[in-house]
Amino acid sequence: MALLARSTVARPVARAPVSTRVVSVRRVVVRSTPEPAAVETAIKEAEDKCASGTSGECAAAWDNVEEISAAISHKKVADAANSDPLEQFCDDNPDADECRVYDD
Amino acid sequence: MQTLNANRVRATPAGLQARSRARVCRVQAAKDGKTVVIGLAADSGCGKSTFMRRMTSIFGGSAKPPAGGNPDSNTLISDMTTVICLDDYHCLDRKGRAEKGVTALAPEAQNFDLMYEQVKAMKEGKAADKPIYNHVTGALDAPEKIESPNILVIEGLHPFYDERVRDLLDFKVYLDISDEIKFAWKIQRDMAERGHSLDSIKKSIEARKPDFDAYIDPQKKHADMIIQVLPTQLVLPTQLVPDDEGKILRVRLIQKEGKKLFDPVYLFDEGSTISWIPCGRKLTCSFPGIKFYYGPDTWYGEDVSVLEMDGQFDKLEELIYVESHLSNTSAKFYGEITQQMLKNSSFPGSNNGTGLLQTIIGLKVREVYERITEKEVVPVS
Repeated sequence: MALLARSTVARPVARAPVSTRVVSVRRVVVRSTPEPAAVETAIKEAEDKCASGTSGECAAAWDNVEEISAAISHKKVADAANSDPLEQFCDDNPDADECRVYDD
Repeated sequence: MQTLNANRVRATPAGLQARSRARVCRVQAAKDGKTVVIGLAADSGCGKSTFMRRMTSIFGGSAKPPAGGNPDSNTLISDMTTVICLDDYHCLDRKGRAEKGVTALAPEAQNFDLMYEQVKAMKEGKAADKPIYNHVTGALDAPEKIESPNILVIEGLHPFYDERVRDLLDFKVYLDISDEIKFAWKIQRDMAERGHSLDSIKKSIEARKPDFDAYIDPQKKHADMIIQVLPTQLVLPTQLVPDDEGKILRVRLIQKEGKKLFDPVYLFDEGSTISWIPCGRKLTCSFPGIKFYYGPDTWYGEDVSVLEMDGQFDKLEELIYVESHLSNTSAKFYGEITQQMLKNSSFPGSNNGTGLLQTIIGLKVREVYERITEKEVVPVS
């Protein structure tokens, strides 16, 4: 049943020799990275604020912790998703030979 | 490699040429007609949520941030849909909120006037220069220009809070996670991070709860469809292995009745109450099995129909078996739901009710779009 067959994609496995055709250059612009100790700092700050500040400041500080934790977790997911260099190349150069797609 | 929509092309030189010509153009298809606006209320951070990815996958293409723009943009653009994150309308950045002592959940931190102005502009077909809230730095970055799409999805904490914005929405979805599940998911997400402990996770949730209950939760009465994620009832909490906590889920899809733009999905007999365990002689399931419930109910005074799934899918055949017994799913061919679930099998929730019911909501969004624009959307295969 066509339902069960996943659409197959065939790509030449061996690297094709680099053609002399001009290929669009990808500017390497990277997403911001959270600082490694961002969570620890934010948690410490939240605990300080809750001990000494107003309840609003306390809530805002813990909300901050949540935002930073979420950003870190999203970065991890995004990194895992962007790990195939061929996929990224083909996204930018869909007409390159290496990115041909065959359908049955 | 992402294949295009249903039009398959023979791998002949002419075909490939035509295909590559068609592919080179990454610009969104020219919009001719109405923009349908969907609102999604969720506390899970923007644009990257699984729900959003499932919904946009129904319309084809893969959702990416605007090409050549700020890499920290929260906006996701695919062939027919643009998803914008309402955090971009924060009027107070992290520093500002700390100074004033308000959380990101409070209405004081949002610029509802700008939100209304720009959603209205995009609905009318105009582009908008939308601010960007950078979740990593906590600051507001320079605005990005967003063109008006076929389907605009606004996702965030306050899509239905402001009445003017609410009136612009054609379809509203609210994702309601119960406290126990929220806690279990946050533990799984954060415990590996240095600095976090069970205690800090608990404090973080508790500190946000008052604002959440005051400002976010009341929006759920306005939604057309609500997904509730609750702990399973198939297994006693004491019997649950810690690893399974937050994984075996009871998921309820609450659908408002009497809406012109969509028909609620039902099981066997519309309007009746059904309790269904598909596992038995025809279908063998492994522990803890699957249990469905369907029935009428009321939600904040309005009539609704509830479709509920508790348990986990283990095999493909369970999924297709269940799909074949559901009615009014808005699927365009037999097995479309199963196919979407397979396509997105790496997403979290692909083996339980969250994946199934979110996929169904995606199909309902397509139905809403077709009814408003009176155009047909070719199913992605």
